[in-house]
Amino acid sequence: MRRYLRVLGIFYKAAILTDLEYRANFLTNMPMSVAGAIATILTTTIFFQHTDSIGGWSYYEALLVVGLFQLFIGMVDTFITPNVQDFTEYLRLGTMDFILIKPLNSQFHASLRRINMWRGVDMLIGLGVLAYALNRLGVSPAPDRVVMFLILLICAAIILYSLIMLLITSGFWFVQLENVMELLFTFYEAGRFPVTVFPGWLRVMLTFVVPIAFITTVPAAVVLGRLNAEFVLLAVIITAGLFAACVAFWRYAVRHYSSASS
Amino acid sequence: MAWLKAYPTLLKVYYARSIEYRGQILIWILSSVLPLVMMFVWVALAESQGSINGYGSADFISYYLMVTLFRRMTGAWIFWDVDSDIRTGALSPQLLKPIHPLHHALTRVLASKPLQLAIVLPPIVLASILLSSRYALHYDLRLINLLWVAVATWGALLLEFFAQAIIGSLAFWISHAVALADVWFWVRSFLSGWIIPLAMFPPGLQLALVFLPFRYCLAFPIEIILGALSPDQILLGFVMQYAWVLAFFALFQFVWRRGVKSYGAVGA
Repeated sequence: MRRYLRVLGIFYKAAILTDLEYRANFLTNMPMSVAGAIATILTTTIFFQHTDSIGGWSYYEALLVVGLFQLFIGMVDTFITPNVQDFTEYLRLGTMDFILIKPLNSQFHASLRRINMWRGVDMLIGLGVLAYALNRLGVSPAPDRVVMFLILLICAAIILYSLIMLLITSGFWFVQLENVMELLFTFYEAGRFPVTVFPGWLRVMLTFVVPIAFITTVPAAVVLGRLNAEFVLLAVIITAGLFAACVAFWRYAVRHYSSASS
Repeated sequence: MAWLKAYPTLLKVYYARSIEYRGQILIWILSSVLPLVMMFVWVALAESQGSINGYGSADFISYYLMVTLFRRMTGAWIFWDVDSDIRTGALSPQLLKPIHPLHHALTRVLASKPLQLAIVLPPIVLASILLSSRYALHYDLRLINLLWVAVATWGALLLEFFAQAIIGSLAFWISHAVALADVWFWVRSFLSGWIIPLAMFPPGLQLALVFLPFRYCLAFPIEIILGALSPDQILLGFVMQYAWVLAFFALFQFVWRRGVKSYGAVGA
């Protein structure tokens, strides 16, 4: 575990140094981050021009969900997307072999090596929206709520990571991964609203099949005191299940992988 | 107009290619999901409080079904090609050919439409039929109206096409034109009615959008087929839409000519 943290530190240091070399990328990413965030916030705002609540959530409550939505988009684009792009190359060119022979967990290496720190702007915007909404709601959550909220954020990050890994591991067979990422983001779009606005069948799907609800709606609901500890437990169980599934699937894929060059 | 003679051949070639890249089909289908998510939210809202700015649940459903159709019909994904051709120098051989490189881009876009239509139209027709038992979906399918829809769709396609061509041509000078393209995509998505029907916007913004180009990239043909516009509004719309098409075309010519000059000067 210590060793992995140290390796991760080295990976990230190298990635940050590379990013600092291409500082113009900051200017490339910035307008997109800001325009995307404004569009997301305005979309929710327009709804509330016509109503006081959607799915039982007030404007600032729904804005909490928007903040989480933006935070996790930023997290995926900062920590995961750069690796997905490389992953396609590993498989196409056969350089995956170099990762498999290293004395390091291959999934860890292939999925966490690179970051794009400029996309961290999205995370900051997300946190800003979150803080603003909490402030306007006048919510000062009790310490136990804060702890539950933090646990749920960690769960959400792992759920997203696991879903993405389940999808990209299928790349061992299909290679074309861009489309696969689109598939995930399509479902993720639904996460910009509290899940209660959707009809029952879709709500069930977004909670248990593709558990997007646990990424944005549940953490927001817990910090507001709408949901209690049992949902934290449920989140932990779902997270553990998904993570185990993605690790098992990766192992299975690597075992059956016959490289591109040989 | 000599280039027109090349069109049948180019269309044939690019049609064959559009069938080759089947991975795109998934993207086309997936890009319809955000509008459908939005539809669920509006329908829930409309059912709880009657109509919103004149839109009932049936109107929202017809609107978003048409969004998925017209987004496909008016889409022109050429930015990346223009941008990368300039930056990698792939443009050089194209400049030697007797027709403008943009004709290739336009025929490629047009040739991809039959397949896109074949994929999105059946589900939309099916959904309309199934839903019409519960909701009073309303489309104005009179022949004359369909003619206006076609003209407005063509204008919308050209607007998006030239907007992306202009931003792509900026690659002659800057290496990160993609940042501007992303901003265009977000602003256009939001103000063209792709995410939210323009009728839901505050009145001041709605008025501004009559004169800005965004509405004419998508919402205009949809509003016509939904029968939401009076003949006067349609006429005003056509004047504004084609004025913007001409403006974008002129701007493209201006940018492109200067760009090709400086491109040659660098000797890339």
